[in-house]
Amino acid sequence: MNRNNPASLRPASKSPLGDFRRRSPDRARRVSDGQLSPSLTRRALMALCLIGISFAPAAVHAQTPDIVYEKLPPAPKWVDGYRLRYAIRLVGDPVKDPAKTALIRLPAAGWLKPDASDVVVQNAAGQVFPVAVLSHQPAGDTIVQFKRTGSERWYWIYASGNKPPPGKAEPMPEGLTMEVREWAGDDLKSWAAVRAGLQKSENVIGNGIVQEVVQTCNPARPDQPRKFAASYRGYLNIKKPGIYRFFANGDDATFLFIDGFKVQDKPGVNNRVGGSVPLRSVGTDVNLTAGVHPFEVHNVVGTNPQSLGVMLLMWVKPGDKSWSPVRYTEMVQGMFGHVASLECASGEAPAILFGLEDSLISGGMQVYLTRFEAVGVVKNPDKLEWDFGDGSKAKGRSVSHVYCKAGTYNVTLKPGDGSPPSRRAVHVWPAPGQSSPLSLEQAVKTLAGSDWKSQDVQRLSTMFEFLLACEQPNRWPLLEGVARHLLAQADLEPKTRALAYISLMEALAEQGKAQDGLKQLDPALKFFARLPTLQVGIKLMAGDIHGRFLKDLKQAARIYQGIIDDHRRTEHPDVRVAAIRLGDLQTEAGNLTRAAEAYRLANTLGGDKFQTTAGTDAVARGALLRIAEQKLRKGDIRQSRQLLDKIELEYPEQKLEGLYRYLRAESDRFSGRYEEAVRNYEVLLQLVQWAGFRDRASHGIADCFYRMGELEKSLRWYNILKKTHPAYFEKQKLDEYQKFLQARLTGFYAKDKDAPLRPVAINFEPDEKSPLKKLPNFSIVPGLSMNGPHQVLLDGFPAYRAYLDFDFPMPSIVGDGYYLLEIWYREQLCSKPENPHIHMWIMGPKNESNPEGSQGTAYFDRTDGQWRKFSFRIKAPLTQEGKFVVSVRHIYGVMEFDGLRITPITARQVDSLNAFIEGVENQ
Amino acid sequence: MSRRRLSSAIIVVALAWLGLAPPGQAKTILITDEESDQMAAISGDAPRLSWAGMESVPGVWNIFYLELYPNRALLIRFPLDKIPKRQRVTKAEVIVPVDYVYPANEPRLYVRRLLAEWGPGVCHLYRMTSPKPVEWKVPGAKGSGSDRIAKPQVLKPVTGETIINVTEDVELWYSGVVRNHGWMLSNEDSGLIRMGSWAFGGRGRWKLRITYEPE
Repeated sequence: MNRNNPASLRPASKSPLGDFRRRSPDRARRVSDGQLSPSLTRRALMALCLIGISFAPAAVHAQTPDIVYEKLPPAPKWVDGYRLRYAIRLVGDPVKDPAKTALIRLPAAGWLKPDASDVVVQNAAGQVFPVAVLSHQPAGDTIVQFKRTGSERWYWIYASGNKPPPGKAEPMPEGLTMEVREWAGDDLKSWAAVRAGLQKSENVIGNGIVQEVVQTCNPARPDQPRKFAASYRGYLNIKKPGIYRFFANGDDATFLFIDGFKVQDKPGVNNRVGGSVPLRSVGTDVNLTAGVHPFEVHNVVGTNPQSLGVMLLMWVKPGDKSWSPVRYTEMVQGMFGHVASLECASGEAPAILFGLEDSLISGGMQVYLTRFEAVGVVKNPDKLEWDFGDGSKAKGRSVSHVYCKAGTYNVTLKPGDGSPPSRRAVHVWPAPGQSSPLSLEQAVKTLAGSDWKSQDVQRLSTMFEFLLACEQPNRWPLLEGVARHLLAQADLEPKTRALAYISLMEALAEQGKAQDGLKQLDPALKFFARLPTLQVGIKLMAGDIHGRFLKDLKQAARIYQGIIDDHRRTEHPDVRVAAIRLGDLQTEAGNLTRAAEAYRLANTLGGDKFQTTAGTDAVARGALLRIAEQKLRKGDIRQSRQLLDKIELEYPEQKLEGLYRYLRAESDRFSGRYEEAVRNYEVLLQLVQWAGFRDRASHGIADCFYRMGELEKSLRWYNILKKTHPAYFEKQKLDEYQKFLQARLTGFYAKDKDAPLRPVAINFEPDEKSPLKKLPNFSIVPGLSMNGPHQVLLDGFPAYRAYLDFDFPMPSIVGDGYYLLEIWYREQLCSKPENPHIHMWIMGPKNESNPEGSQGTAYFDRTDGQWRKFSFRIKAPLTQEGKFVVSVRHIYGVMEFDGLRITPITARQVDSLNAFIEGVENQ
Repeated sequence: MSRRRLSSAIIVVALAWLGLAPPGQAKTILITDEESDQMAAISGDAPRLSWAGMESVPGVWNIFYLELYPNRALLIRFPLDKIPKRQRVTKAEVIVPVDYVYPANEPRLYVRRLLAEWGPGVCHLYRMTSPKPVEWKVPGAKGSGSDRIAKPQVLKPVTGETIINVTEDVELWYSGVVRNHGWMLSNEDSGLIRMGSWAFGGRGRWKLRITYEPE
């Protein structure tokens, strides 16, 4: 039902005004008297009601203030002498907040002077004040602090100036900042040695504004828990004077200073203290008066193999009998400033925004999908030039890039007009979370669009390996290009050359150029004349091309037979595969007897390894089949498929057995290989002695057609199943599916078959068309964000925010289908360990859910200001339409969201991802 | 039986024997770790050690076992000069002694042919340190396409003896197309694969079995 179209609510044959038009002569007279008859009154009222009902839903969905988009206020006059201006929005309530200062993390991007002295702040009235620089990372962010003037929410910070600032501001006693350096020292034995090392460790690799001294890893490089130094500077707000016992509990060396005095001196290589310890066995007593006391904590981690980079500032307050963390309420906090925009006085100055999109790790292969956005005002986005720090370059405003190795990269962004470039050191690492099934396709697309030809051998090899493993349909053109590029290298390793030939042949065939693929055969065989085992794989591919693509089964059979004849004495699994393929050709042609012969021949080939199993009796074969069946029932589709591959290779005659065919068909279906599944079910239907499987085979075929979008065929098979196997039909409750398909075919959605397949994208921009109509309790603010100039901002600072919910309708969904939910997020100040998390559901109109998992939950990690994407899969209920529900919970600190995507995905995509991550055993 | 008949019978039998005899006798040889001329155990946790087989206590390494955790690798080279000239390799298998796998069925053995020369002083950081230090392209011999071949053979280790088909690799080395720098075995999943050490319990249990026949 389309609520946006009032006409759809009216009965097709009637208009609410219809009865009015059919006037009786009496009514006509009464109307002319100026009086309405009672019946006319009733009808008028009815008509008005109908009109009201017709338009009411539209009125609800007309533009309402259910979503509030904050706008940038008018800025004061530009301060002369500065190139850049950041608009700053204070988070929280500037009227009630007692903080006198604001702290901001500026993406200063390498534009500032080395001491960051070229920064000032301006309030709405145009007054200009100096700022204190609390931390400066030359290739990253600069943390500044300024004194608030009144209860304004907006300020403007100017940077990159060429005139002296109006005085110098000293840090004010509010806020807690963190700074991380790469530890370049080599001695932790004393504070003097550590201090000397810190002076050598000039490079700041990360900084941030935090709530508490709670460190769960190396904040700048979470995957590198050693060789770093983290320093925290803040202000204790002591309300009750007395003796406090302090302990900074961390790995290796930790030092605590209060009021400038060294209170804790714990040098050397240490492990953090854990478990139950006597109260006074650790820590130092300090007598503190009421008031504000500045403190510093330095944690330096060397090469201690036990280190995790963990550190916590704890204390025992006067009268307490146990240790507790020093909470944010015990410190003097400033207000946190959110950067809303970035402008440039002349030219362009886009800053680099970096997001870690996904990590795809398989065995030793690592592929990191990242996003870069040029944020701020950009006049010529096509002229922006990126250098990713790994030898690759790109152009554009919003780019994806694939890194093949974890590490830190110096990225540069040059505007096209010659303005100074911006720089950022980005750290790429395998962040925790679920990998997305869409990332493989995205990675292929990104690699295809990159300047991969200029890459070194190392990166090309990794790319090649990735393309061979990723199973993505969009990889063929790139794989063709990479294979050709590799083959042009004179010194290419022979096995890689063989693989390159095979890949090139396959890539050409997949792109409809099978004959071109076959042209590679002769040069390849010639090259490997002295290496017959490497020839086998190449010949197999030629046979495959003839069989699968050119449908020349005779030629394919000739090639397979040729492999067997030429390499019968070589003990290589591929020789056995040739015989199995020969059998498959016969099966496809319907010659089951000949197929059996070929499979029996296969049994004798391949080497001793298979000889031992050929002699094994049916018990072992049956056991393997049973295990494969159990894995399938448990949902371990990958493991089931691997076992079936093993059975196929070791006992090829099983391919004509009904149980094998059924398991193969089922595993094909659950892994999204619907065409292969249908073929296997059809073979099963032909096997007379396996008639007992016909009900399941028919069900499988019906389901495959539904998943392939062929609804009429699916419904036909369900109808056949109901007639031929009514008991099975009833037991499996398939009438739900039958009714669902009937509704789908005859209802509104018959007109727009692709509607369920369209992804939903919400970027929280005011001018976008999205199903999102209400967003209570969320602020949409301007910001430097991943998808456009607006983003969601949740301020759980200083007060915690509990349950923040919203939902929107999804008028057309893939019933019982998989969806991928993705969202970009980052957090700052979120140091309380209260498990902030998000739930997402797809529900039916009556809140139905799918018992196989309609809910997804993700726990937010600390990102310390880095954008990260998380994704998870859920299953939609078996309904035509649904609604999407989100609940964000337990927010402390400041959380930002952008780029919500809900995308229908296929089982094939999920299986490809699982195959990639788990890898394949190829022996 | 007349003489003529006997001669004919002998000729027929001889011809039949010749017809049935294999077209060149295949031979199988066994090369063990005791004949290996290069072996090492490297680890990212002991980046300068060549014998980082097992960390008995933190920071103390020995070769009592060869424990394959992630970020460790075993390197071994078997010389092939025992194979006579003008032969065709029809089968080659490396047999490795696996004593323990934990968790069962989880870690997999990754086997790759090494592409770069390595030698004295080999460790996680360097492929040799004498006559002068030469680094791996990527520490841990992880340079794909430079230190080692890109695509590994991956298999589940079997306690007792794990057999790895290496026919292609041995054929490549024997043909002289590429130099024999041996193999690298690693565990890139999680868990532990403990293997018999060349110096202790695994001595003589590492084997390369090659079958060849005349060309």
